[in-house]
Amino acid sequence: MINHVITHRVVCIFLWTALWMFIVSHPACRSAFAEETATAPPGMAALLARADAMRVPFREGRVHVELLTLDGDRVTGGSAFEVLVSKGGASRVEMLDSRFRGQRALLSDRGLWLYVPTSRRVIRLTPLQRLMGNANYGDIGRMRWSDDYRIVQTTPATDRSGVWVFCLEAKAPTAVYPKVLLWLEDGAGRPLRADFFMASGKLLKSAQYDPPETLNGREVIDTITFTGGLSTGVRTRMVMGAFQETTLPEHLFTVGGLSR
Amino acid sequence: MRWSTSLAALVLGMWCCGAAGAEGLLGDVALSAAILNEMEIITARSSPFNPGDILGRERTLITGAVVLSPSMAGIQGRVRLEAWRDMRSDGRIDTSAVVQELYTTFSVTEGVQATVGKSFLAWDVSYASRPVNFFALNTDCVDLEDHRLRMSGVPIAALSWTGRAGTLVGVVASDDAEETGRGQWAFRAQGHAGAAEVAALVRGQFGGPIGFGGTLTCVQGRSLEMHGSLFVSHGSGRRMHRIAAGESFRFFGPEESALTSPGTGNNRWVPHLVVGGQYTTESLFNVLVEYIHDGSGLSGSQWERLLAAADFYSRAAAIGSPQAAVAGNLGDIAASLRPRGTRRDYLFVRGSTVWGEIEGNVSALIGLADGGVSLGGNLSYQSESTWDVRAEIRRHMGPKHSEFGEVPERMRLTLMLRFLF
Repeated sequence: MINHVITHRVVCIFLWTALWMFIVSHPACRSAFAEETATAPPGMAALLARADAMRVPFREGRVHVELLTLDGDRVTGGSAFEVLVSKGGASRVEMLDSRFRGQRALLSDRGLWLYVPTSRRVIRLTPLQRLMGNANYGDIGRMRWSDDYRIVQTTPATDRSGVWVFCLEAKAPTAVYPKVLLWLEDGAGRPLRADFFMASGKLLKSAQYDPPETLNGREVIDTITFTGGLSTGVRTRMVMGAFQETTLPEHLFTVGGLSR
Repeated sequence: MRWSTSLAALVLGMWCCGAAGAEGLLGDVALSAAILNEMEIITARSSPFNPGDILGRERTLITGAVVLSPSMAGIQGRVRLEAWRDMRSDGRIDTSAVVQELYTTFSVTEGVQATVGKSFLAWDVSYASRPVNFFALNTDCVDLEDHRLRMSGVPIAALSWTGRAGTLVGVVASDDAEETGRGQWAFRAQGHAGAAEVAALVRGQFGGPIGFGGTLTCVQGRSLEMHGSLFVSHGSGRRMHRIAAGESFRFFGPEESALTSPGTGNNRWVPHLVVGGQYTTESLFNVLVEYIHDGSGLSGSQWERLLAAADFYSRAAAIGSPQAAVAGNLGDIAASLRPRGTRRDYLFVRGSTVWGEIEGNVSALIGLADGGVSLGGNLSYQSESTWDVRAEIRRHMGPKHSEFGEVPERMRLTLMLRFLF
């Protein structure tokens, strides 16, 4: 009898906790506390689209990505990925290192899934869990700001002329970072720097964008250096190459297709 | 046994060498390998199930294993060659060679794929218990990534279609996990409804019970993931000790197995359910909570009968019954205890976090019927190169006559060093 009472109480506590977590995490609840958003000034959306085109010079295709860990100027580690981008905006990241070989991540506007080949599990992750792994799939996979963020505010940079500071806010909770500050050159839309923030406003990491290289007549930024993040004092350089515009089967960008 | 092991090792070694040798000659050839060194220290408790450690559960095991994963001409495989030695015994070294997987996958048409061979599938979305885990052996419910690479497949033939709307899979396989020898079939449809990812499935054993179930996951906001996994079968194939199932107290010998599957013969619907969620804070601390109900687990009265059976064998030993018969029958009881829960209702709580290359978690599996707890902890370090190291501890504790207060194993400490190539 006592055991039944204990069981009943524990189950009740569990259900109430789950209900509370559901309520506080629900977008409707969160939006009640969110600041009002503004619409983007004309032309600024086009500037952001130009910046996107410099990061991914095609609508659909694949790109090879290397993440190099730097201690000062010394490379202390690295990992390699193949990123497939669909015309619908979804990305599929395939790990190429021996430690994670066969692991794949699917990033779409509906969320993130990770396929673990050693156990054949497809695991659904929350945006914050994306930051818990060794590699942040969000930085690698979701390369177009226009897909995930809306422009809240644009202001001229105070320290440099001809540069706009974009304040971007996530369109949906599935975006990796709730808020991004982005420095873009006027005209060409070349990204210079970005700051990525948590929901609490805490700065998580910053990115510096190298000058673009010309690839098949298009300007492409192939190197981005991240500072901050989980390992303080360590920088991560993301080097992209082997850009290949190609048509990819739709099933590769589905949860069921992750194991293929 | 030694012959078959040696033959399997030889054939697979030749295949792996072939794969390695052909690398560079053919495009579709690959070989990856893992070397694992493991030390396990197990301490036992003297309990009704194991008086005076009659089962010999106290061990210090040193294990070395090589896991080869060759791929050649569209055929994928995984082979585990293992040697282990119990430091507390006479120093004998045991070996084994296991083909964990050997299968081929080919595309039938766009989006349609067939898999034939020995392989495994994972349909579950839950963590501490897996209601729809039908097609895998040696699943480690604690280690989602199977760092020890112990998971093994079953003979299987599967046909799947994947499109934008979802995935349909039909499977025919052996049911090695339940050892009924019947074989099994299953059909699963998976898709999404709004933000939720859902799957429905029906599964049966040839000439045996049929069941249905499904899984669901959804993410709310940036921090909360919720999931559920359910399977309801018409009878259960789970094996249980005959005395716990209601048979009379007696000794079982080699001619009569002490374990039976009582659920297959009745018309009771048996649910196995896991519901839970996980919450991640901005400081990247993750809390996972799951409620588990396994209807095929032991009820309170069945647990009492199992304890009484253990007491019956212990008293028989005291009045002069042969030690080997007592140990054998207590061993049968121990074999009917499942490491992740023999009874019906549990609560699982786990907290985990990362500090750079170090990951750690602590967990508790709480028996809701008796208040016993299986505590666990885990710490791992991943180097920038190809090795990692992992330490795990598991401690069972609880009141007298509770499950985790009486299981033969008191504590298990595992240290593992792994190299990946």
